[in-house]
Amino acid sequence: MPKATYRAADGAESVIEVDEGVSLMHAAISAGLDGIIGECGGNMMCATCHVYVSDDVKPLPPMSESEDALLDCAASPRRAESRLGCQIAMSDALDGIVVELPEDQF
Amino acid sequence: MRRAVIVGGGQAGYTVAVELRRRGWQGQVVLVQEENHLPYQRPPLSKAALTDSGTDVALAPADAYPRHGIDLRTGQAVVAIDRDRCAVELSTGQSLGYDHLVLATGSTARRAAGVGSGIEGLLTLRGISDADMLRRAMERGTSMGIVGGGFIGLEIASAGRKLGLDTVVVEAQPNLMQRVVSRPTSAYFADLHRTAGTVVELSAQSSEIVVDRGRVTGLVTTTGRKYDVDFLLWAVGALPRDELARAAGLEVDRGVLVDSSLRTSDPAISAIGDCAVRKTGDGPGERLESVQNAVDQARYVAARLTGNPGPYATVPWFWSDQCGVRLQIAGVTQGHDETVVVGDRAAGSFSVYCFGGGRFLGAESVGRPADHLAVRRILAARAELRPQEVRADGFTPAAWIRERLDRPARV
Repeated sequence: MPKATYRAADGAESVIEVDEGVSLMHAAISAGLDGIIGECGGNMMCATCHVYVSDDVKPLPPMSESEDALLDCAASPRRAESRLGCQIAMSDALDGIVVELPEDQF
Repeated sequence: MRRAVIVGGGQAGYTVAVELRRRGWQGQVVLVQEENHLPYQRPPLSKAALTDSGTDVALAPADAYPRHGIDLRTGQAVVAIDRDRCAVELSTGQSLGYDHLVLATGSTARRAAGVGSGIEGLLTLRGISDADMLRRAMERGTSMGIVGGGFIGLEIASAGRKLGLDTVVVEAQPNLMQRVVSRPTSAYFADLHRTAGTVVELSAQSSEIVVDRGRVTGLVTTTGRKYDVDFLLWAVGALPRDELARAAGLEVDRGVLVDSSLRTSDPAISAIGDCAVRKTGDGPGERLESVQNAVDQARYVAARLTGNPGPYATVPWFWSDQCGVRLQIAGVTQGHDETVVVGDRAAGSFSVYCFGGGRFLGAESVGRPADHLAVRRILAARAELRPQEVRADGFTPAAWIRERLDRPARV
């Protein structure tokens, strides 16, 4: 099963197995990670699943207009690597992906 | 050791528990959930859960609670509040003392009046068990009647059409979602549902529920039309659950009354989410049924209880998915007397800006997520958007608010 690494703002790392098709937001919540909230349940209404994907080798799904607009509203600063965790579904191609969690989600 | 007791394990109750811990509450946190389910989110119950039985709605896995030091009780209800002793009585017979009590009891689906219980095929939707029953009825049936053209009724109608059911929606008002949504947006969605094959009867109510051998077989409306249905969904709104508060002598008025800091008439008790009516000053008070309201109010109370109150500054937002289209609402536009529509309704891309006495109240957006978010920023900044500015050529809320936020303040 593909794995994803979540690096918290304090540096702590968690490596999690994520089923294909499951979003990085959902996987983090199911694994009980702090630092990702997803209060709207993955409906692109809240920006509380904000992550920084520093690994530019991995082929991420393209960013929609909704995601782009919502990232401007995220609590932590938007960077070039900013994405919404609910919009990235796990796949074999993303195995080993590393994401950083922001300081604040709201 | 101090103890916070939270009554209700919905979105609001869950969020208070998690936020208390996150903000360093040093005492016990007990979360009492009356249903036999882990705390869960409701939006999918009128959407994906109706077409996909595997939909997972839990807000967190079971082990998250002990890990965060949250004492979660499921299948236990608070049956009474003893304010003198600062304790709640549980359905198990246990008495639980509290230093602070948070009422997050939510709301309940309004039922059909004058209809006896035990009639098969007369359904409402509130929780997981209701959704399971509704999904089974939709899988087995071929025709569904829905009384109530609000968000729940319309989302379920969409699911019905997706499953190929003959679907009729009967709405008492002249417009769908009239309580919350403007005429232009309401008309757009009426067209959408009719195009999808749903029969929409407006300005009509249920006149007779036809029952044969203990099960629903039809609906007659006040216009005299008769529909044969396999089951009926009653989706005419929700009532706040304030019975515990009322019995305990707290002030209630169609919900648990709270002040601007979300405190009830007893300073050791707060109320949040669907059940709470927030009154500031002499006005009627506001009670919102939404994920945003539940979460923001929960966060506010947790912050207040851990010593960091801050101002109560929230921007209401809401979404509804119908017929494959998403409606996004920013602000509370009830009582508006003027609307300005910008965009192309035929193309499914427009925003409706609502004003009351010239004051901007909020906007509804379809196919314009950037507009929706910009309106949230406008409301957060309390910027004074005027109708004539929205009517101006080339207006976009994003450009408008960006210009205002970048402009240096007048000294």
